[in-house]
Amino acid sequence: MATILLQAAGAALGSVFGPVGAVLGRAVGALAGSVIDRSIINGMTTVSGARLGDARIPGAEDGTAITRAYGTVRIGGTLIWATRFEEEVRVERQGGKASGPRVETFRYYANFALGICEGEIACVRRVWADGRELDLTGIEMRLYRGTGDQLPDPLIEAKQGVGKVPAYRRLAYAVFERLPLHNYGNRIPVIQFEVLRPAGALERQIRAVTIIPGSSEHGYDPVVVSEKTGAGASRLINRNVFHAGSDWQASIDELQALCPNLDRVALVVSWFGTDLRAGHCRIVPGVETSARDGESRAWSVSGIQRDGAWLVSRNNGGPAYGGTPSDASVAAAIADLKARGLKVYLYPFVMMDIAAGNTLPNPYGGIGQPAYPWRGRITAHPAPGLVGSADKTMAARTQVEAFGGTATAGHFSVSGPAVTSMGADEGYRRLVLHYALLAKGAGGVDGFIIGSELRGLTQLRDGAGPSRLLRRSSLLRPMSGLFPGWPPS
Amino acid sequence: MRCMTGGRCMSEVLRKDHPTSAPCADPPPQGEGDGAACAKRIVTAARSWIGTPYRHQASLKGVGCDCLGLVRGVWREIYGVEPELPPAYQPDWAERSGEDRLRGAARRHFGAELSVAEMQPGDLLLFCWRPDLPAKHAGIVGTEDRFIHAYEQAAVIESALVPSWRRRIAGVFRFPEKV
Repeated sequence: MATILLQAAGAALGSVFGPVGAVLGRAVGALAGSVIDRSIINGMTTVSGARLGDARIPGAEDGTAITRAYGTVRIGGTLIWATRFEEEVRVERQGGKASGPRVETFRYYANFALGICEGEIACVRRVWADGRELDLTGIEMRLYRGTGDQLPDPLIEAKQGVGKVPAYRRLAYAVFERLPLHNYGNRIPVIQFEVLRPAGALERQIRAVTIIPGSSEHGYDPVVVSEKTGAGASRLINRNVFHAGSDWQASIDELQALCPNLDRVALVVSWFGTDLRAGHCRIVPGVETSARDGESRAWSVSGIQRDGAWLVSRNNGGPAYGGTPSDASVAAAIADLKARGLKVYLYPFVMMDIAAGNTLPNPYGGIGQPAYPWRGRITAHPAPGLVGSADKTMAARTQVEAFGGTATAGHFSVSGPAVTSMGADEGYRRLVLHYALLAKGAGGVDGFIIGSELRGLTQLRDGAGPSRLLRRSSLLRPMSGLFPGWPPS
Repeated sequence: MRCMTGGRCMSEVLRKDHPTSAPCADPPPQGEGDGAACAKRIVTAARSWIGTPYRHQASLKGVGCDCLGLVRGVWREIYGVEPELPPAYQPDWAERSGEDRLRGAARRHFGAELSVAEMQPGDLLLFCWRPDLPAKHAGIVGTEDRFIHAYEQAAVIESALVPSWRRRIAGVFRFPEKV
């Protein structure tokens, strides 16, 4: 409209300058008019995005058989309940100065319930939608394990009316609440579940479990820890699953689901031994790498930071062991286990980080200690049974006491759950005392396991007769007074 | 249930309709020593809100309320005063601010948290949908396995406290005997 009007006006004005002026005036007028027209016409149009006519619900048939699962299986869900899709309209203006068209886009959300299989199942591990694994922390999925006393789902009850909803007892099913559908072509995707259903009696009889590896820098942390891997890139160190917030949560959730009568767990925490000769063995916390960029929770054990910690030797292109769990992760794991109603036994442990091709004198004879040996082989030098062995002499006592070190509780500064070792001593007693104090700071544990597998040391004697040298001299004494009833008589 | 539905802010309406000095229908408890009777009054008050449609930021019986509005409304009925007027909040306040405001407010008015094992009818429940985010939903225990709350997609309802919600209880608080 404005194009025509301004074209005519431009021609009339331009004609003052003769016919050429009229042509120019017409052109200028048309240009100005079309700008005005576009902004008026576009400003009043509404561009609508794709909109659904009605909800596309995949087949829900009467008479579908209920699957019976044994062990771990992947099962497709059968739709048993759904609402109409919830439509969310987003309105935006395109272009600058709000001159562009109004654009309406539609997003759809679905509420639905899927029957999985006959109950009672232990848990569901992974869930796939259209073949791709779902991040279960980002959506609301409520699982019913098919128990005989399960209650009706709150959402179904809210939609259908209280008292009008079955609880689907003995049927394992999952309810999805407001699942966004834009990734699935605006229809309910095909959903499959990895179902865990123990078929035997063993799982119910398991009362106690030892949690390893004990060497994982942040693996025990229930909260996710990230590091930067480059400009604008980062990775989650302790989340390698989609079905839980962290590896720890995924593992312990599954452990408790599979072993419902689990009562107590022993949490292994490893430091590293550096030598098979008791008199030369240092026991130190270690890391996989001496620097991590932008670590969201910095690694620290007993006040030792990453750059000052023992760097675990490398083997086959990677670190030979995972690093020592950070103190923060151990304290958080103890708190998490206790909140889950489990009794916690803290289990300080020694891993031998002796690389292949070393030139250390071997207590069992010769030069060069075996690579990554068992901690049970730490012994006096020369070992018992060899000619000139230190066993049954005062040298054995000296070496065992050197293994224990000189740490006492007074060498640590404790503030809340944080324990810092102040001394330079690197003996076994420091390891034991550190975790004793850490456990105390974390609110206490139900038990403490030490000296495990150190059979090469416990069989040493400082005279001709059996004397339980290690027990007497190095391990129990420094713990006196830390715990009620310690040391046991 | 996430307490996230957008909606018209009704706090102005509330300020007019519920001046904090006005006495409420129920007389405030006078030396209410019997915890069970107190709990019964709270559950009865909460149940009288059942059917009130979900409305973000609102707190008016029969008209609209969100999960916090229900708790505030019950508080007004029991004690005759508004606990406090929350500032305006977005449906996604918890994800954005990261501050545990709901829990902070509960501690201010209800005192220290109890353990889930101590939970009994009439107690306030806070829920945390994700462990790394602040508590975001609230309800009042009705019976051992049911609780009354404003459900985002529907209305105030007494829902079953199903396992996946029980796991997400972030705090149990008892209504104080007096304010």
